Amino acid sequence: MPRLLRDWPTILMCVLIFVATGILIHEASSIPAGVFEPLGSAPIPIAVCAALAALSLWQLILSLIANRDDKAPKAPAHAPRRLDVFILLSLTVLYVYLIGQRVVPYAVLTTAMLFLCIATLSRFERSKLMPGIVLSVALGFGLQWVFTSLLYVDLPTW
Amino acid sequence: MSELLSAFAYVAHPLPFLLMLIGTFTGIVVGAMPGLTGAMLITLSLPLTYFMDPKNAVIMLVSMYVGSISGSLITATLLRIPGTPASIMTTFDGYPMAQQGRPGRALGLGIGASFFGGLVSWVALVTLSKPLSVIGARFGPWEIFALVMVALVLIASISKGSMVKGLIAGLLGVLLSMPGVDPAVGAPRLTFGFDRLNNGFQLLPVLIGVFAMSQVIRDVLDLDEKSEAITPSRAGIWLTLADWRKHCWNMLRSSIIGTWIGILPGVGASVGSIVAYTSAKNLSKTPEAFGTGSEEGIVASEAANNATIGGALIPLIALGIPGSVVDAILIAALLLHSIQPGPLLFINNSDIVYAIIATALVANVFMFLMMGFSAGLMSRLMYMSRLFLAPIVLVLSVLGTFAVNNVIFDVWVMLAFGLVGYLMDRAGMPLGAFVIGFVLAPLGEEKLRTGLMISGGSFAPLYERPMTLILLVVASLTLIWPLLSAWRNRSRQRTPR
Repeated sequence: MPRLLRDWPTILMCVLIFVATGILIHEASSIPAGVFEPLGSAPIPIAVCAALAALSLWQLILSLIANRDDKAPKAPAHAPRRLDVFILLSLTVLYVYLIGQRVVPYAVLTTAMLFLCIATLSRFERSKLMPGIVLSVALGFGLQWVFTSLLYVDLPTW
Repeated sequence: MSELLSAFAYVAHPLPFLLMLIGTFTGIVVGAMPGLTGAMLITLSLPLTYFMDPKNAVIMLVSMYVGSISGSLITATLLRIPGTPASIMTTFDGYPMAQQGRPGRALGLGIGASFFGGLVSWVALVTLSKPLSVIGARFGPWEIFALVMVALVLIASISKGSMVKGLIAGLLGVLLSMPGVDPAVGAPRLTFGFDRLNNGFQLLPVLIGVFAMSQVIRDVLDLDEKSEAITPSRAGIWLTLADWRKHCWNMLRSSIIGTWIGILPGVGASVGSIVAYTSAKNLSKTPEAFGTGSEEGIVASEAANNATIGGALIPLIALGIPGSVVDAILIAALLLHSIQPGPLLFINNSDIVYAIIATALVANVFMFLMMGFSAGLMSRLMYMSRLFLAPIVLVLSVLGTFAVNNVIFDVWVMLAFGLVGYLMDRAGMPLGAFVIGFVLAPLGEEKLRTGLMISGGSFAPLYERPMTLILLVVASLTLIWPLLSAWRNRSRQRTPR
């Protein structure tokens, strides 16, 4: 990674905040001025956005300057599991989408979701799969029972 | 007094008693598991409490709070990983003492000090809450606005690392609380014409996203992280009378420091334990022993971090201002039950207030007994694999968010805030500042606009009203002081010797 981008999370956050505040200031400036009360809806969000934009710009400069230092970041003792995070988040998006569509019962969906997550994280290690299945079934059906029968939450069921 | 006794009688009923036991136990277990925090447990439990009586809900949540702060000492001592940031200082002496073959003694000192700290701060909670709420009830909109400003600035300025990042996090929380229908004029703002945003971002999806989802991402990334574990033993887990006598001054001093720091809005347990640890080291006859397994170090850190619980509950009960991140979540719990936190809580919902106070004491006793008798068992639980925990937390986060309003949009919001929370955490922007900004901003804005309506659009009351002026001066000094000290330090370093 280029030296200037070593602190990429801070840089990314600052850029995102800077862009978002610009869009929000534009949106807030179209809000009509207050009629019955002196301040109206727009000035406070605009002031907060302006302060945030200034601070994120300042932090961005600070981070870029700090990144010029020669100090190389300490290598982590283990490789971060980025691919697993990506798979987990993709599964979650699919899981939430299917809950919203109400086509598969919650218990079945949750059992499958839990098992797939555990299997992915354990890299399909055999010794982890059996407890994973037991846990997934118990939690999937247990949660459905608790939330639908005891707490009356409207979850998709058959 | 009679109300407090009634509250004690109430918590002795089977259901509240059971909820307190469950709350304290789960709090300790979660506190003992690296990667899980009390804030996360309480956030994930909020949807469940939605279906409970408000009094029972706060009883369970406060018990979890007490348990989680205490439970983290187990991992701090045996794994050198603080279960929650509150026990960072405990690792410095707890782990070396455990390495020297005295893990039971290290745990015993921590448990005893935690109990003592909890008792001292409870006394402060009982004696200070009511008088402070009487003063708070006299506050007008300008004073409350100024108080919110103090809280926001204080959170940002004490943020570990960079104050600029603390301010960014706090202001981001403020900004993200603003979309939705503006209650003052009844018109939508910052919704981009998206009807779903008319109600704004709901508190629960934001909290679950920021605390639980972001933690799942971190845990999965670091799944291969190894730790140096020590086998627990129970020898020396109960302190003798001589031990209590030997450490009583340190415990008392650290507890008072912890209580005081807990009272300051947004500061929290980790700062309390750092300050108490530093004071204990400065006043110790053997400061060189600190960091190598010093008994005084463990006592100071644990007495102070538990004392912050009672201290932090004082501004919550008396003024509706969170003393810590967990208190901000407790405010969310009250709001979920349509209970307005603030100085009038003592008048409108005194049963809730006294239930909180009674729980703070009884849960502290439960914590002491549970930790004393089952520290060995608890320490085994901390080995529960994150491989199973991360998917469970993920599924519970989705279900918990969905269950409150049965709206799938809330779940998408939760996931989005999970990513935001993870990025903020990676960037070193404190999540606590973000959440407290998110919780407090609507109150601050409402009071500012009410004040302006009363004054006919004039900002003069900000400097004409003495209490408002004092609070704003405090806020300004809090903001300027760290900048000044950093500048002074830099100029000292530049000056050649």
